[in-house]
Amino acid sequence: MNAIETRNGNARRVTPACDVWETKDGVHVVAEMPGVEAGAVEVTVERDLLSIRGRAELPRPSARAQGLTATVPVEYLRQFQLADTADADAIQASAKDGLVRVLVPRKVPAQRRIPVAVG
Amino acid sequence: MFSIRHLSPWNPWEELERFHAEFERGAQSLGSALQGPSIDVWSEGDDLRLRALLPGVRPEDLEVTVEGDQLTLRGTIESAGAPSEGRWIRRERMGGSFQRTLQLPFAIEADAVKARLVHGVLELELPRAAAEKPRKIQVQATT
Repeated sequence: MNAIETRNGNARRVTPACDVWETKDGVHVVAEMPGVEAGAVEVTVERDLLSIRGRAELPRPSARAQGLTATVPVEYLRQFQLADTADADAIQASAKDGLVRVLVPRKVPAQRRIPVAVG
Repeated sequence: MFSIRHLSPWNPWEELERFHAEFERGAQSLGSALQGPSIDVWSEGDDLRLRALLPGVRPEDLEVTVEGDQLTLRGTIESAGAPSEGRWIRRERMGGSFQRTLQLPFAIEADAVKARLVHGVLELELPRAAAEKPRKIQVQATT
């Protein structure tokens, strides 16, 4: 795991490692968020900024010896800039085995049928 | 078909620079593969506890073995699935198989080890082998 860590009060703030790739369906993101269950994932889009957040309580090493709580709260956050072609309303997300998967579908170009007048 | 590179003037350093960049990239990925998953081990009372962050490892893809004072974690990390018809934009995760062997400070009671892997977080309870637990020696008074 190749994550970057900082602190936010009591919580550890982690920038998770991600794989990102593009197919004809859109852009796929896989983020490493160990300890995060599906209900603790939040995916938001603000203007062109995609934010993938996850919260977890990880077991804290040596908690008892230090007189600390058994778990430590962790906040994962990774942000990406979306292209104009991204369909922000159709984003799908799922979480399993500590991986959060997000699909940002490509916008289907709107097709308009232009009636041709006869005469 | 000609690519842009073929049309540009020949630069004798280009091949060397490309080789260097590829070497660096290879060395980086090799480094993370050798490093393996992040593992913490600490003592709690008589026993040891282990926490490993294993995102992308399913419980059925992880093997934990204990032999005396040696603990081995062997598993497979689910890779993103290289896009055959797409293209990579960013690739930061390590995929494939890994193995870590740790030398513990004392032998473990292998039958009593408890392991759980939930949402990519592995927790192990490693009780100290009974034979290794400190024993109180009765001091006999001499008359």
